[in-house]
Amino acid sequence: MLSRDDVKRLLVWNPLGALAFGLIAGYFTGDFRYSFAAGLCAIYMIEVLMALLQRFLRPRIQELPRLRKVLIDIGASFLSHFIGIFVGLTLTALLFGYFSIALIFYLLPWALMAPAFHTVQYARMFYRELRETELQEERLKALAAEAELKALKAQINPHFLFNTLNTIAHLTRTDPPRAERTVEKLADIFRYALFSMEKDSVPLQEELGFIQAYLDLEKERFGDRLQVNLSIARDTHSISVPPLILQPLVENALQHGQGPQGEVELELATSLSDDFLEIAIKDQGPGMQTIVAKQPGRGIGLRNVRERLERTYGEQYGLEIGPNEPRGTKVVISIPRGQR
Amino acid sequence: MKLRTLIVDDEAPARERLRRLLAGNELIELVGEAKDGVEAVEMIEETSPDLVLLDIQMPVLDGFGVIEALREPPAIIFVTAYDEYAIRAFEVNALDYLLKPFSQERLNKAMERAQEELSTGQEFADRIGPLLESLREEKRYTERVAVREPDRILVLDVEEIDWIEARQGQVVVHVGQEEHVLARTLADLEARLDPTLFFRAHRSVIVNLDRVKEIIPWFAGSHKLRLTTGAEVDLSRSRGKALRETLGW
Repeated sequence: MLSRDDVKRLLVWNPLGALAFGLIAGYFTGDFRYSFAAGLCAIYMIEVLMALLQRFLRPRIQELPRLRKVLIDIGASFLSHFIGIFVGLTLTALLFGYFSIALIFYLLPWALMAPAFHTVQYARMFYRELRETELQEERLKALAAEAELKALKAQINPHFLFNTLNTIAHLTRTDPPRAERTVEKLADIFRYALFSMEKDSVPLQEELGFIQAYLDLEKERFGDRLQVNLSIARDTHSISVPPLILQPLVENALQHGQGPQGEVELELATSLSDDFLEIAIKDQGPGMQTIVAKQPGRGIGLRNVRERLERTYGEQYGLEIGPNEPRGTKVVISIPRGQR
Repeated sequence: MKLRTLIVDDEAPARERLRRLLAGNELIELVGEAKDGVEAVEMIEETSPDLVLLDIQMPVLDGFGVIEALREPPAIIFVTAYDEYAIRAFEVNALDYLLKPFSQERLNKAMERAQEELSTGQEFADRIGPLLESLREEKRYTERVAVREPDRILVLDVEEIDWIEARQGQVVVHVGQEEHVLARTLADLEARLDPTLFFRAHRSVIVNLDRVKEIIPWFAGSHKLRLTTGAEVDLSRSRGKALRETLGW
């Protein structure tokens, strides 16, 4: 209950303070004993009141806004010092049988000083916290910028880029028209990845066009191993979605949804309900037997998507990851329709 | 003498390109192509090539998984599109690697270098241990382990593994009631496993921490670990201290 400092204060500093007060006030009033007793009574009355404040008032004002809390706290401290002094003086008066009015004038400055000291302490604390908040904000800004850069990097997967360049290097010799088409698609993909980042939203159709081009290139690399089924509801075309929101999920499905021979069967379906656009991405891979965190790659992609959805829609979105029937993984995004 | 060479890549265009670029090379005799890691292990064992051009990112069993599955890996030139961690590991161990798309000149140079090194008898196998160690330092842990069974190659997800023991010069991997024998050292395998999941409990035992159910005090400060499968393994006194720190028990 009591800390070492409390004990020290109660047993050493308070009696010494009362003694000092007794000497000074006694010097002027000529009554040392009375002054010392008044000091002691006042000081311990204040201690009792402050302890009561700590016990009963502080827990109650914990939830209030900070400024109000501090003002109430300082006010209560003022009040308890005043009351403490008056009660202390009354006690002394009862003890000695007479009342020395002069002592009030010596005690009052003390009553003002202690709460003033509190005020200064609070002010210093406020200032420190303000600085801390500023620093924190700067740190957060730096973190956000870093996160954005990382997200961009993740979307333009270097591995995908260099593999596609390798495919193109091959096709220039064996099948120049196909090489040409591949280069065009790669350009489309990079243009979209670079410039759509600046927009808050794009029509789903555009995002799907990008995904289609991306899958076309992956098909060049995967060959027969990649099978894609798209089922896009017509009425979903114009719904707004955050750009590049689907690509990490599709990439996850390609990477982690591979069957025993490395084959991938990817399904992408969109549908519209009263309030939400739903996009489902399914694979027929081994599924996630264990928690997502254990598939490091998948984890990062999903986290990026979740963060971006949260930044755009607050709580108004859904991102569900679960088993697909009969096997594999299913990810479903729900985005509020009509909103941005 | 021509180098008998095997191409391993899961992407058909990449294999074709490599084949075309190697076509005119007098140092090389192509002995085959594998389109995934498991096929690569089989073909290397069948044809015992002098040199393998090995892609790293492949489904199911990646390039490192292939090397780990081999008793005596041949000389290898790694091929990758992009893998900064692996590249650092190669550089540390002075192993040759090709970055896709690579030029004809770069490929030729790699072949000449391979020819030289093989003729001076530098053993690629000697560099495998350090390579695996560097990969661990780059936090590139293996996700799958290939096991050579008499009639097939079995690929295990490391998360399926309950515990691993060194027994009479062999490494035995325990998965449920099954036992699989690997032809490698416990230290090599440990070098490739994620230390936050796999813990060396004893000189000859590595245990999957997810499977530890009970830690039972034993004699002289040692312990026994009882696993969810019911198996019991020894935990030495010194490793017990390390485990105490890891799990905070």
